[in-house]
Amino acid sequence: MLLTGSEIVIEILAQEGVKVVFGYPGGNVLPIYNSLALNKKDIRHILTSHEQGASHAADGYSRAGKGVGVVIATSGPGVTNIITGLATAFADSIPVVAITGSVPKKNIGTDSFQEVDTASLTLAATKHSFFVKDISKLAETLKSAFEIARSGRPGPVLIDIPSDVQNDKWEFEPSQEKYIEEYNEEIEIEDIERAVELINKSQKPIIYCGGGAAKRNCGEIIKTLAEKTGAYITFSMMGLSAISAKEERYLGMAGLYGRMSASKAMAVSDLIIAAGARFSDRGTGRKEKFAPNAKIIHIDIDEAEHGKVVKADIEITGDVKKALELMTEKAKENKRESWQKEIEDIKKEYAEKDNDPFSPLKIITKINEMTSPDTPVATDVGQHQMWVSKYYDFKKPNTYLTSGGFGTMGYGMGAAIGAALAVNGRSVLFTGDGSFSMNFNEVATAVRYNIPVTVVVLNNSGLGMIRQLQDSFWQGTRFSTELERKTDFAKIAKAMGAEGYRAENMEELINAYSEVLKTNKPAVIDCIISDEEMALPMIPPGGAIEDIIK
Amino acid sequence: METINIILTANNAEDLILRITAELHKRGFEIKSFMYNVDKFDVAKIGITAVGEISKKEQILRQLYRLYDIKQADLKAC
Ligand SMILES: Cc1ncc(C[n+]2csc(CCOP(=O)(O)OP(=O)(O)O)c2C)c(N)n1
Repeated sequence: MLLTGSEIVIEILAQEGVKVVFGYPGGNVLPIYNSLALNKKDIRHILTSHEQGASHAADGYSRAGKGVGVVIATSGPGVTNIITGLATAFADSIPVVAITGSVPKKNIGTDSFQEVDTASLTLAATKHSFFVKDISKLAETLKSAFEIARSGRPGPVLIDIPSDVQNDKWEFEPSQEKYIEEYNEEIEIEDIERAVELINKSQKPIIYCGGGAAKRNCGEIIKTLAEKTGAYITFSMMGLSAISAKEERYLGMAGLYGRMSASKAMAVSDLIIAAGARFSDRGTGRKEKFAPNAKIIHIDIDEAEHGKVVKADIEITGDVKKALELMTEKAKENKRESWQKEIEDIKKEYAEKDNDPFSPLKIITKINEMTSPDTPVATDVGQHQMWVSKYYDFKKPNTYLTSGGFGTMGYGMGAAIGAALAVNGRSVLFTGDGSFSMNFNEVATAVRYNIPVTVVVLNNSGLGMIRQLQDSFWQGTRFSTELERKTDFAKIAKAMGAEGYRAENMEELINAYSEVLKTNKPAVIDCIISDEEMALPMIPPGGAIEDIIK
Repeated sequence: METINIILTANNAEDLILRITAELHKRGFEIKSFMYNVDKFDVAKIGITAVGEISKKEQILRQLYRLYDIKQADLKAC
C-alpha cells in the first residue's frame, strides 16, 4: 500500500507491538503527529511537559518490563532536550527508540530554523543512530532501530527523519513477522569449566550481580548457585530487584553508599563471580584496592566490558543466565561453613544504627510495607536514592528504576510515569527536594492522564548528597547546597491538580499514604526530614573499604 | 603513551568516521593519521595511527568493534 513516511512510522510501531509513545510536537515532526492522531492501531501518545520527561518516561516504561520505550521529539531544542534521557538510558543499557524530525532536506546545512546536527549531538548518548534521507529506506531502518535497541547489550537508538521524508510516499509491504525474544546462548564451554575449577577451589566466593543479571531475571539461578556453593550475594545498584533483600545469602548493595558488610565481604573474598556487572567506580571504589585477594570470573554479554576496568581471570562473553546455569550445574556442592561464620561476624561488625523517629530508613520501610511488591519504584538522584537502594526490599524483577550509571537528577518523575503506564497501576517515586524541583512539571502530565504516581519527597532542605560531600571533604563549607527555598510541594501538587500532603512524623505519613492508596490519583507527600541525615557509612569516591566514613 | 596502528573493516555508513573518531576521543586516544578507503562493494577499509595508553589497546579494539557498522578490528604492528 502507498503510504507516507509518517504513516510508515505508525505501521512499524504497531508491528513492533508499541502501545504507548511519549513525546512533544513541533514543526518538523508534525507529519508524524498527524499520523499519530489518525492512527487506528491503538497507539497512545502521552504528551509530557518537557521532552526530557518524555525521554525518561520511555526509559521507565521499558525498565518496568515493556520492551523498547519510544520517545518522539522535534528538531533542534526537541533533540537537545531528550539527550539527557538518552544518555541516562545508554549508561544503564535500556532499550529506547527515539524518533526525531529534522529540517527538510533542502534546508540541511543552511543553519535553518531549529536545525541542529542531531547525529553529532546524540552520538555519545546512543548505541547507534540513523539519519533517513530516502523514503525507500525508512521501513527497514525503523525495524533495525528496534532490533539494535533490544539486541545484545540493549541501549537507545535514534532515528532522525527530515520532515519532507515524513511526507514522501512509498509502497509499504506490511509484514506479519512478530518479534520473539531470544537470547544467543552460545557460551564457550571451556571458559565455564575453568570458572567452575575456580569456584571449587575457592574458600570465600561472592556472586556480584549488576543490571545485566537483573534484566535477565537471574534471581532464581543466583540463589541456587549461592546455596550450592556457599557463596554470598551482593549487587551493584543496577542489580537491585533481582532477588529480595530478605534472602539469606544476600548481603545488600555493595559500593560507595552500599552496605558496608557487602563491600567488606567483597574485600576479603577470594573469588568474585561478576554477573552482568561492569565494575563501575561507584561499585568498586579504588580499583587497585578492589577485592585484592580475589580471583575474578566476569560474565557479560558485551565483550567490550571485559578488561575495561578490572582484568578478570576468566572472561565469559555471552548470556549471563545461561553461563550461571552451566556453572551451577557443574559446580561441586560445598557449604563452606567457615565462610559463613566469617560473614556472620562481618554483618555484626557493620550493623547500622537508626535513632531518628522520622528517619529515611523508617519512612522508606513504612512505604515499603504499605506498597504492593508489584509496584514499580523510581528514584531521583542523591542521598534518597542511596537510602532507597539500601533499605527498600524489591521482591520482584523490574520494579526498581533508578539512574545508576548517569546519575541524572530529574530522572524520576518521567520514569515513574512511564512505569505506572507499563504496569497499568500505581508507581512510587522517592525523590529529594532538589531533584523534584527539576522535574515536578511532569506532575501535570500525571494529572492530565490520571496516572497514579505517588511522589514521596524526602525533603531535607538541600542538595543532601553534595552537602554531605562538602561536610566530609570541604571542611563543612556548605555552598549552593542549602536550598533555602520557600517551595511548598504539597501546595504545588494541589495547584497542578494532584493530591498534596505534608508529613512531619510517621503518623502523618501513614495517614497521607493511606489516603493516597484509596484513590487512583497522582499524589505528592512532602516528608520533612532532618538536614542532618547522612547517607552513611560511605566509602569516599576513589577510596577503599579501609577509608570508610561512619 | 604509545603509538598503535588499527585496521578496521566496515560498512561504509554515512557517519562512520564521526563515530570512530568520537570513540577514540572518548577512550583517550589521539589520532595521528587516518586513512579511509571504500571499495566497489561499499566496504570501507580504515587505517588509523593513534597515540594512547598501550594497556588500553585491546580495550579500544573491542570498543571500536562494538560500533554497529564495524565488521572487523585488528591491531597492526608498528
Ligand atoms: C542533573 C544533575 N545535576 C547535578 C547533579 C549532582 N548531584 C548529585 S546528587 C545532588 C543533590 C540531590 O539533591 P536532592 O535531589 O534534594 O536529593 P538528596 O541528596 O537531598 O536526597 C546533586 C546536585 C546530578 N546528579 N544531576
